Amino acid sequence: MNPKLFIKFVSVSFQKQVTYRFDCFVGIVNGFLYVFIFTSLWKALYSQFDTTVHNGYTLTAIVTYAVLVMAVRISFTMDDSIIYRKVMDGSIAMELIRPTSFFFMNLAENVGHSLFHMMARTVPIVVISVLLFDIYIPLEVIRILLFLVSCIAGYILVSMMNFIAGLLSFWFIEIFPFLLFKYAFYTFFSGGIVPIDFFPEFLKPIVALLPFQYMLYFPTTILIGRASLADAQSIIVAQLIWIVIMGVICHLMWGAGKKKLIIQGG
Amino acid sequence: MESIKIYLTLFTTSIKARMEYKASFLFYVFAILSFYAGQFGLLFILLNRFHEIKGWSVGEMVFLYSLQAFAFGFTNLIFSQLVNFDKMIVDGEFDRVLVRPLSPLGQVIFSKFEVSTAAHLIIGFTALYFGSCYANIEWTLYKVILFPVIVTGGVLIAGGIRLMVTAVAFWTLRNRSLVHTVIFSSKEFINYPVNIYNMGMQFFLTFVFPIAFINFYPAHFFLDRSGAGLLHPSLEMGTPIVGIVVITISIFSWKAGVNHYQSTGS
Repeated sequence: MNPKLFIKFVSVSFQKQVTYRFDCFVGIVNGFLYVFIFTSLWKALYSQFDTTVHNGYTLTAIVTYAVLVMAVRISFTMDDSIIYRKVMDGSIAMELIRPTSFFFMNLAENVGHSLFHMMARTVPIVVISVLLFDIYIPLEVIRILLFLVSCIAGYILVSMMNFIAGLLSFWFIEIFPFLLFKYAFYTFFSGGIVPIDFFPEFLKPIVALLPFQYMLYFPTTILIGRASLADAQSIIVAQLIWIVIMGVICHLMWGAGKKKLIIQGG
Repeated sequence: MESIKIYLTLFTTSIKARMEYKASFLFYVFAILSFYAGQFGLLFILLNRFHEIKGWSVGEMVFLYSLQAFAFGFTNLIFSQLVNFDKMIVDGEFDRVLVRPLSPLGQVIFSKFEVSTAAHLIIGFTALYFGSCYANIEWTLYKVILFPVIVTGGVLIAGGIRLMVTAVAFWTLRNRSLVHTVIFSSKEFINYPVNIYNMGMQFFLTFVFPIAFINFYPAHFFLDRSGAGLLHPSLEMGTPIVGIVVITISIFSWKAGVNHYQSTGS
């Protein structure tokens, strides 16, 4: 897809978000509410023991993780029912005859959405959290660059996951239960709330077989300094492999879906 | 009497409409169960590692969860239409409600029943059973009688809050994000015992936004916990009174909203 066109789509989607200013304020409150609950929870859990390090995390490290993983997660906010709505109102037909790739148009729309959430929600939430909580981020240039690369890779994976879930509306009339499943798996296995290090041993092999931990957990561990710089590189390689795997799935499903698509008369 | 008959007809029609697609309904219930299973799973991971949360054991946490599941299950059943109420105003559908010779609130409430309550009740009973076993609750006659009273009080609190935030739509028209934050996200607070939060937040959740009365305070009574950690021991029986206060205030704000209402003209 033409990069200029891509950027155009991103900016249109961004501007759509700006319209709802009140929603944006409520969004900050909503995100901070989660940060507050989980930092309180970790502080309460750690206060029960004399030992200060649990599963490799000090209290400062786990509070930092809780804040930053939520920050990454909020930046990754996208509308996962775009494709569903397009199928429902029949406008998907228009997408099919456009000369641009549907996947990249969808990605552009997500990027615009997410950029807005990042600027309007993540930034204020992180600033408030840094003032209120004891947070430590190692400020090394290479680390932050690696984090950004890993974040973009994680973002592409989340976007592909949503694309796959959205494509299910080509086969099913109602996809809300699938979105709920996806949300449950994503929340549980991505380390979005509890880092994978705390998972019991029997779950770790299952986590390792799934792509979810590459979406939130690994990018965050790079930023907080839990992953070494060498680890960070192998994390990014693994993320790229998952992008290829999920990309193939997206491509195959899109090909099959186009033939299968049932439109409800619009 | 006549109006009760009409309400009953509305009630049965809405249930019938939802049950039209049985497979979809069952799948939906299953998806909701998986969502909560994920939430439970993370809680178990933490309890497995840390044994208890601020003096609350696994069994007690599960019991805490059951009170919440019952309260929100019944609240969903009765007050579900309120979640999308702003759409009724924006689309002008509320005008239709106003010209009918029945109470507007009654019509809005009886126009839709969320059958997903089935999922909440399954969770509620399962959690109640295991909570009772693991926390060794002694079910005296007094407790058995008070359990439904406490759940009713919880429904009045949760439903009252829902009604109040819905009424905001009379002034602001669109209030989706606010409704979402106040109704769904704030629920996260009482997934954990409220004593993990700082004093200011405990005060807020007791006197300003009293959701701590849905499960935290009454759980002390059922579990025979001493009221030592509470702001005041007598609060543990406060749920029904707080429920009546909240629902009364919310009905007044709803009425003020109806009086203020001006059609959008669509």
